[in-house]
Amino acid sequence: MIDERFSAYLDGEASPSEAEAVLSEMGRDPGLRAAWGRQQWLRSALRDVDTEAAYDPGFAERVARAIDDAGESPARADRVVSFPARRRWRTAASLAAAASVVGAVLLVAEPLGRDSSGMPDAGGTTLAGDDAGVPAVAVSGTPAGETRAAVNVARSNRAADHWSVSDPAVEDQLNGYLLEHNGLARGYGMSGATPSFLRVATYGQDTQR
Amino acid sequence: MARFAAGDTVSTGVKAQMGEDSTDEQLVARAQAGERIAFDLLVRKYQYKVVKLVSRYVTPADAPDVAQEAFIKAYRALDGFKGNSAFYTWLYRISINTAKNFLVARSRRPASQDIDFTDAEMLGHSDRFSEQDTPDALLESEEIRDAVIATIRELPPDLRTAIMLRELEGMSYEQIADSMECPVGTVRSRIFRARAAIDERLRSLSER
Repeated sequence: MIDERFSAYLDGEASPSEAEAVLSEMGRDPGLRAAWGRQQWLRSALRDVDTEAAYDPGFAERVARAIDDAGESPARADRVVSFPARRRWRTAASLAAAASVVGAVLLVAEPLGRDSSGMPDAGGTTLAGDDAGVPAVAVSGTPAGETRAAVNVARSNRAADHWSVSDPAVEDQLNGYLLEHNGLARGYGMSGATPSFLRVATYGQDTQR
Repeated sequence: MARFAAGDTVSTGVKAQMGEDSTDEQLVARAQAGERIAFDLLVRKYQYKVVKLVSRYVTPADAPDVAQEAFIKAYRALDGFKGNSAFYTWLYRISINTAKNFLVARSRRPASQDIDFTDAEMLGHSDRFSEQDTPDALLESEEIRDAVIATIRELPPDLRTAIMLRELEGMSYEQIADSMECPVGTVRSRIFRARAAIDERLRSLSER
């Protein structure tokens, strides 16, 4: 059974003494470790709404079993996976290229994302609004099966947010760049910080399903 | 249940991501010291991200196995992780390399060695395909997601707001407290109560 300390630890908001206690309890209690896994799935399912996060409670056990079967132990020096500096350079260059593409997109797309008041559209994530500030994505009264559409209301209901150029091939290519950037951003743990305008990067996914 | 005391938090003024990173640092340090449970928690934390990541390179059917291999490689290499980057950044690189290596290995394999699901069933070798697909091991994600969303919708508004700002927007407790105009301790309590209700629902689904 989870408690408040567990919840705070899950969010990185526990004090050191609380964290120590929670870790100790998780070490003793498989049920608590399972709860940790469930909450991680929940986080993934809510944040990465475009992804089928298949609930797989047995995954960690399989990894542990495989490690045991192989007699693995962390790391001797001769087995350490290293990443040459040039790869880091290439990664940085890739990110820079992606950022420049996004920057160029913003220059063009920004006017499309503004409403008549001139403010950027919040994409359904307004903090102060109806229902005690609940984001529209959270409380729209949709049936469960329509949740994803509700969460993506900003992108699905506003064609103006989508990148649009006269040449469909160029449009697809640009949106491909955006998709890659969005994936990279999420991959680097920036999903929570990804501005709402980057939701244009999901362009086309609705229609592909 | 532990009570939240003012001044007992260390990261209320810090972005939520930084708080999560510090949790990772702690788990990594413990795993490097030989605590298998700590690595287990990291696996549980990142399994969905890694499966999603490698799914860009390999088929959905192969993704769990490739992700598993990535975690095993990460475990082997754990002592080499010096914390120069976030743990997930490091894991991300390992996962991508594992997926690419998988593709290279597959491309070298003669096509005749590929066995499709029907063949495997007929040959009695379906285990390797089905471990993650049996109803007992893998629940219908959509069904669970829908049930969870329904549970969230049934929460009192204050709890619903708090958990969604945290989970969907990734806001820190302090940021949530600012937006909801309440103390951080209240936010912490609301998030916990919402999470407990959701977890109860999730647990009942997973134990069916």
